Amino acid sequence: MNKELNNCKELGDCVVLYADNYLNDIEGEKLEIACDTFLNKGKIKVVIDFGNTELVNSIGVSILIGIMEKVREKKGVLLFSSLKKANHYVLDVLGLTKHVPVLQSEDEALKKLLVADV
Amino acid sequence: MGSKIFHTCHDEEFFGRSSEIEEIYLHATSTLKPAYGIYLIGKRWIGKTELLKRVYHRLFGEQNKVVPIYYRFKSGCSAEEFADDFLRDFTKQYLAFLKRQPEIVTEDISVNKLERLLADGDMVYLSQFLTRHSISKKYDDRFAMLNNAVKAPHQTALHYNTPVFLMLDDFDLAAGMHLHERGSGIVKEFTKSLMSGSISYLVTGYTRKLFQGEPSPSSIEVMDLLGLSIEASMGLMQEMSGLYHINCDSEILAVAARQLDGNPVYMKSIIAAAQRSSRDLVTLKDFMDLYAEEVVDGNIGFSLSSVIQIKSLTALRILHACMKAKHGISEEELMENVKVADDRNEIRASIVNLCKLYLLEANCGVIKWIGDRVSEDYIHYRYETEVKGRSTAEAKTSIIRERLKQGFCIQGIAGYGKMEEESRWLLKMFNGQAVPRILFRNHDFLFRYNEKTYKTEDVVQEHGTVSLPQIVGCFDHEKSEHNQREFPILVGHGFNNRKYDSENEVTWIAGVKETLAAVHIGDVEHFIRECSIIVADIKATSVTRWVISKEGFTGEALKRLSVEGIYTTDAVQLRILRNLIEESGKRNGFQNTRQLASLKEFDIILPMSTKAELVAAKAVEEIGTEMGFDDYTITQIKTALVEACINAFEHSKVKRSKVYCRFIVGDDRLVLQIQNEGKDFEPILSPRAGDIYKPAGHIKRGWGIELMKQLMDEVRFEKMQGGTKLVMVKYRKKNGEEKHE
Repeated sequence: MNKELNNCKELGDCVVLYADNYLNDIEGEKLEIACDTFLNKGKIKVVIDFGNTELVNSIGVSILIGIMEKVREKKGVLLFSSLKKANHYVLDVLGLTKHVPVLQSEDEALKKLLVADV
Repeated sequence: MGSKIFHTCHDEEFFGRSSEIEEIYLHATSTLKPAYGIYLIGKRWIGKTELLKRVYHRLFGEQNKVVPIYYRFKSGCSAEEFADDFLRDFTKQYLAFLKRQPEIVTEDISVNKLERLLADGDMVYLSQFLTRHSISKKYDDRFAMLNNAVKAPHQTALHYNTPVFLMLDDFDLAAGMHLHERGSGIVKEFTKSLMSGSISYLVTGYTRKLFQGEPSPSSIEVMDLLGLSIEASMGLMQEMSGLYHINCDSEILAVAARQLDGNPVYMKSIIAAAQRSSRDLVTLKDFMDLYAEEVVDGNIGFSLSSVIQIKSLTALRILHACMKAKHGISEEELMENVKVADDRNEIRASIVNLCKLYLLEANCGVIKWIGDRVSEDYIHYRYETEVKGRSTAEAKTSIIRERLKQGFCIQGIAGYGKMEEESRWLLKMFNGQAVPRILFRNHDFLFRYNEKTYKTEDVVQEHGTVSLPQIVGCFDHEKSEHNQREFPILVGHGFNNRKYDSENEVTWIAGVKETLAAVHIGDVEHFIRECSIIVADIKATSVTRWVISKEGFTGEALKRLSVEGIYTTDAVQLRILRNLIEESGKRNGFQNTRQLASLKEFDIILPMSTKAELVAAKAVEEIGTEMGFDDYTITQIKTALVEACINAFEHSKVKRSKVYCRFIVGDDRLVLQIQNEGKDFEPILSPRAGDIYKPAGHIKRGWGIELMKQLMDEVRFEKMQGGTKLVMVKYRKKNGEEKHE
C-alpha cells in the first residue's frame, strides 16, 4: 500500500499538507509520515488543509493528535484550514480546536504562518 | 382434529414458537430419542404452558402412536391431593386418546363414570390404578397413593404397549409437596419413575437448579425457552393493535418488546391497557406511560403482586440490594446493606423465600437477582413507596427516568385545569422546546410590557430563549412543613437535549402560588428551604427552580428570587407559555399520525474490508438528502455511522464477520441500526465532550461512542444474541425548532 502523501506544498519554511477525502487510519498515517519528513527537514510551520475532506473518523483524529504533539516537540506551529462545519464540530467535540487554531482557508493559514514567530 | 381440549389463546395472538413446537413434537413421536426427557426452562409467563398445550393438541390430532398426557402442578396442593388429581387426569387423557374422544378430557367425569368407561372400553388394567388409589386413600396410606399415581403412566405404557409422552407443567411446584412434614418432597419419587426409561417426558421449570443432582445428565435435554424474538414480539403486538384499532409505531413496538423481554403476557397487557384507555403506541411517551401505569397499578402489577408475595420490608430491602448489585452480592455485604444486622435469621429466611419465588438465586455464597426487567421495576416501585415512603407518582417517575436513561425518549401529553394543575401539565409538556427567556423573568417582563400592549405572543419571541428539558415524570413534593396548600411544590424530572444520561439529567422544582396575595419574601425563603431538602433527597445535580404566582411578586421577593437565579412567572406569562407549548404539542401530534404511513427500511451488509463503512455512509447520504436533512446534518449522521461501523468491525469476534446496517426512515426521524457478530461494543470510555484531548497523558482511542452521542439525538446499545446492536436516531427539525447544542 502506498504510504506516501502525494498532495502537499512547500512555501519557504512552511508546508501545507492536504488531507484526503476521508481521514481514517490509512490516510491519517500518510499525513503523519509526510509531516515527520518535513519536520525532520526543519520545516516546522505546518498547515493541514481539509478542503477536500468530507469525513473524518476518530482514528484519523487520534493521528492528528500525534502530529500535533510532534510539531509541539519541534517547537513548531500547526494550523488547520478549510474545515467543513461538521468536521469542525467533530474536532471541537474531541477537544482539538482548543489546541490547534482553525483558519477559514489555506491562504489565511499561510498568512498567519508567515508572520508567526517560531 | 380441530377441537381444542385445553384452552389456548387465539391463533392470531400466538407467535414465534413454531420451531419449539416442532422440536418437542418430533421428540415425542421419534423412536430414536437422543434423551428420554426434556427440561424446558423459562421465566414466568414466557409461554411454556401455551406451548405445551399446543404440542398436546398436535399429538392428539396428528398421530396415533404416542399418548400425550398433560398435567399442570398446582401450588398449595398436598401430596394426596396431587395423587388424586394426577391419576384422574392421566386416566381420562389416556382413555380419551385411545377412544379418540376428546370430550372425556373436557367433561367433568366422576371417578365412578370413569371406571365404567374403562370397563366398557376393555381397559380393566387401567381401572386397577383407580381401585388401588381408593383403597390406599381409605387406609390413609399416602405413600401408596403417591407411588400408585406416579407409576401409572410407566406401567400403563408397558401393559398396553402404547408409549406415553408425559408433559409435566410447573414441575418445580412439586418441590413444595411433601408426604410428611419435613420429609422428602415428591420430586424424588417422580424423578425415579421418569428415569425408568419407559416413557418420554417433558417437565417445565423456572431455573436450572431443580434437577441438580437428580437425573443422570445423559437422560435429559435442557431446553431454554426465551422471550419471543423482537420480530415475533412486534408481530404479536401489531396483530393485537390491529384487532383493537390501536395506532402503533414499529420503532416503539421494538422498544416495548425489548423492555418486556419478549414476554407475551406483558405485551398483551400493554396492548390491552392501551385499548382500555383509548391510547396509542406511537411515541415512547405513550409506551412509558402505559408501562409505568401497568407495573404500578395495572394488570401487570396485579399479576406480579399475586405471585411475588413479599411479606416484609426486609425482603424488599434484600431484593433492592440484589438488583443494584449486577453481579450478585455476598451474604455479608447484604447484611451490611440491609442494615437490620441484629436479625440475621430473618434475613436468611427472607433469602430462602425469595429464592423460592425465583427472584433470587443463591450460589456459592453469592446471592443474585434473577427476575426479569418488569419484575425489577415492580420491586423498585414497591421499594420506593414502602421503604422510602415516596408517593406512587414519584415512584412511577423514578421508573420512567431510569428506563429512559437506558435508551428511551418521550413526547408530549395534554390536559390542564387550574393554576397548579396547569403548571403540572405544563411541566409534563416540556419536551425540548425553546421558549422566550422573558417568560421566566417576571421583572424583565413587567419592565418591557407593563406599560405597553402586546398584541400577540410572538412579540416576546424577540428575546433570548430557554431550552426546556424533556420532562419524563412529575410529582408533588409532599414533605413541605407548612404552607402546603397555599404554596404547593411540583418536582419534574427530565433530560436536556434528548440525551438520556446522567450528564443531561435535570430536575425542575416549581412552587405555585395561586391565592390572592403576591409571592412575598417569606414564601421565597420557604421555597428555597424546600428546594434544598428536595435536592438533598433526590441527589439532583442540575436543578432549575421556578416560582409561579397568580398575583405576581412583591419587589423584595423578586429581588431575592433574582439573586438566587430562580425563574419567576406570573399568570400572564404562564398563559403565553401555555399557548406556545400547546402549539408545539399540536405539531407533535400531527407528526405522530403521519410517521406511520411512510416507514421505509433499507438494509446493507458490510464485509470487513478497507473503507467498507463508506458504502454505508454513501447510502445514508442518499437517504438523508431524500428526507430533507441539510448537508451539515448529513455529514453528522455519516460521521456517526462511520464510527459505529468501525466499532462494530473492531469488536467482532469472527474473522470474516459482517456488519449489518438497517436504516429506518420515519416522517420525523432517521433510525440507524448497526449490528455486529461477536463481542459487545459498549460505551466503556465516555469522557466529557470538549475535554477529551488532554496534551499530557491523553487517551487517543475510545472516543467513538462520545462522538456518536454528540452527533446524534439518541444513541443506545442493545444486547442481542451473538452480538450487539447500536441504535442511533436523528430527528428532523421542525419549523422554528432549534436543536439545543
